[in-house]
Amino acid sequence: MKKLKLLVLAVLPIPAFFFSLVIGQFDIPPLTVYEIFFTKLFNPLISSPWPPAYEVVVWNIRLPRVLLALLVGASLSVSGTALQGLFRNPLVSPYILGLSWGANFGVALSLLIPLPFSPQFMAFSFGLLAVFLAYSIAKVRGETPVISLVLAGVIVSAFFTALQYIAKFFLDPQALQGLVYWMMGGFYLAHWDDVMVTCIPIIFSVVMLSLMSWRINVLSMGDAEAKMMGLNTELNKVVIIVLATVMAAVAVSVVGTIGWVGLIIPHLVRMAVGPDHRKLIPLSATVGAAFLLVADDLARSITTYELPVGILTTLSGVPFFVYLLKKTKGRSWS
Amino acid sequence: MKRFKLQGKSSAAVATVSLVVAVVVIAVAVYMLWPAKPAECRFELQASLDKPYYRVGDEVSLSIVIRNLNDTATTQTVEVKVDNEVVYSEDVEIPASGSKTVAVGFKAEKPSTITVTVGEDSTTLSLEVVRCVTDFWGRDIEIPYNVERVVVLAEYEIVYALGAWDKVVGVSKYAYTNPVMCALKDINISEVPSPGSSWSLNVEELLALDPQVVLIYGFSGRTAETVEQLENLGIKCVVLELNSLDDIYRLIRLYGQIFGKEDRAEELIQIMNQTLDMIRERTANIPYDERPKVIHTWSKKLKVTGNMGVINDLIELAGGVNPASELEGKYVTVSIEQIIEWDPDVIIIWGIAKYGVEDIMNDTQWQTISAVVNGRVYKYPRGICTWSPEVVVLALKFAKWIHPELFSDVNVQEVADQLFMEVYGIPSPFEWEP
Repeated sequence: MKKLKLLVLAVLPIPAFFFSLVIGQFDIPPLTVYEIFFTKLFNPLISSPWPPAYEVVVWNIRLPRVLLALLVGASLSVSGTALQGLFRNPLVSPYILGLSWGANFGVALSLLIPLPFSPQFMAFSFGLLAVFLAYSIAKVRGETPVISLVLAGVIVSAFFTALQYIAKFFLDPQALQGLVYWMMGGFYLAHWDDVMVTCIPIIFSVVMLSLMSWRINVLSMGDAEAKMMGLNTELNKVVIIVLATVMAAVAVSVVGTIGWVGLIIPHLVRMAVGPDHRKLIPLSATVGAAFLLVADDLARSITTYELPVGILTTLSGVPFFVYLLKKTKGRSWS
Repeated sequence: MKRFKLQGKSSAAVATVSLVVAVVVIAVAVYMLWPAKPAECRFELQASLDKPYYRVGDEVSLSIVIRNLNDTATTQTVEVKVDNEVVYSEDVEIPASGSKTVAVGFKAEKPSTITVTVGEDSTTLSLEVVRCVTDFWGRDIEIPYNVERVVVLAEYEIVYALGAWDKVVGVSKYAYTNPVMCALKDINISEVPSPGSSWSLNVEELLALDPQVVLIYGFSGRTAETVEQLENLGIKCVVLELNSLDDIYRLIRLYGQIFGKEDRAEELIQIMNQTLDMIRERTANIPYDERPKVIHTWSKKLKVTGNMGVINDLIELAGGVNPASELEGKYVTVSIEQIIEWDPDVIIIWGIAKYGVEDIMNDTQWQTISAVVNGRVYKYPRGICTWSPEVVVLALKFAKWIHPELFSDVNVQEVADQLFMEVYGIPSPFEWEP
């Protein structure tokens, strides 16, 4: 029974994937969608008997969007799971070390000043810069106690928030609207290019963190205990933070700051399979991927307009979190 | 003894007394017999207005009270002049020792001096007149008749086109980068102070400019708050919110009213109509189902113009159909699948957008769309304002893009240069024909 549960969670993205391919404004019969998908997949050079628009919609529009949602969902959830384990703090998400606000500022800056870099690159580098700053602030005598890391994250977030408001002040309304849209996060601009850029760092980080998951188990017992067990706590912490941050930064730089996925999915999976990170990390990847994909399906189908998916993840995340708090009376961490 | 003494002593005194009596008698006689004093001088004149000030076009009610101090009735000419123009002149009979009230009504046109003359008596009053304009929020706003200090946070170029630039004491910060403002020869826009923009206004700096009137956009959610704050400080705010082509006419007329340049405003509208009528003539009869589908994209490729705004009107006017007009709003973000479903024949890109024609032509997701297949993706010049007279040039450019066969004889650059010459006195600062 337990094995079955694990299996179901592990293969969750597959039905989500096939379901999502048929969702969209443009009307194509579901079977044709699968026909196009499999034909293109196994036989890419065949000249298609379908209208060219069909092929573009399935292969160039829906597929990259679906894949990107899967990648970003996996990235944010795994990053959240790893950081929550590391910080032994259930409130941690990939954004705790200032990543999202750094990235937001990067985008605002790129809209404000004409720079030779793309907004994506600016988001990525400022996200990393924010985390690096937080880490440097928290570092005392070669160690980074969890509490100072969390506080440093708060400080850095506040700093970049202020910088971002300055940038916002000077932005004209049109650009400002663009920034707000970016901050809410969404997949509506998904291209194959985005999938190509994100897939390598995200898959690499997910694999690496899965391999390191036993170390997270040890670290989650506390610095002193981990040291006693012979683990180089500082090195492991840095590697885990770097992996978790880079994968989240890659995701954020492409689709904007999609909130709450990195917070609720780790909780959800932990409730289902327990606190062992060897199961937690890979299952967060699959569940997170499926969750974000379905959320994006909703975002693009409930209205003719494109809703930013960040709104949906946050809206669905809040009641879930309230329920979690009430049910566990704040003792969800074990 | 005493009596004698008196008699004896008093011959000189008697003479003196008699002389005095005689003088008095003569004086009384002269007074009685003197011809009556001319009646003209024997009036009391009071004139008053029914309101402390009037709006242009208001009916002024002037009441004149004439009190006759004579005991005979008389007929007098009552004349009222407004700035030396006679508005009332009647003979009025005034009863003896009584008073007569004369009511005079006329239209208030501008601040003037009223002179009331009755016979040879006269009095003057000053007539205070303000302009009343209705802004885009439907509010009636009273502004000084002769505005001298105006901060223009919206459509400053129209103020220039009206010939009222000497009244401008501050502009929006966006004026500094506006291509039209920068191209003007006789003003240096960067020397005009700016208190910010309609979206972020520094109220203190605005107050330092000491404006009588502020012209501000109403698009920001916080405009109402700002307006209330300024009006509490005695600064009149005219709020502008343009959502259609007709609103541009309304704006030009409103500005004409504010600056007292109504005639020039009508002239600008005439200039605009010349081009618009030419476009209408050629496109009006195209049946609806033969019109090409045209979408207009904003700052993002997927942000399109919905059923609101000037651009949507321009597409219609230019003989196109905007498939996105089924969606509510000025800026609507849609999915790429939606655009493929619409399959527009022409795609027009916002001039300020950071992406260009190539970005759409080379996008794999757009490659099946008719406009891309036929190479009918266009972008208009950066910085062209859609809420100014030059919008008609944009309309013409749209029309030529949408119906090249109907407008092959039209050189947009020439039309633009002529229009800019007539409106701003400079050739078009934008390139229209590549």
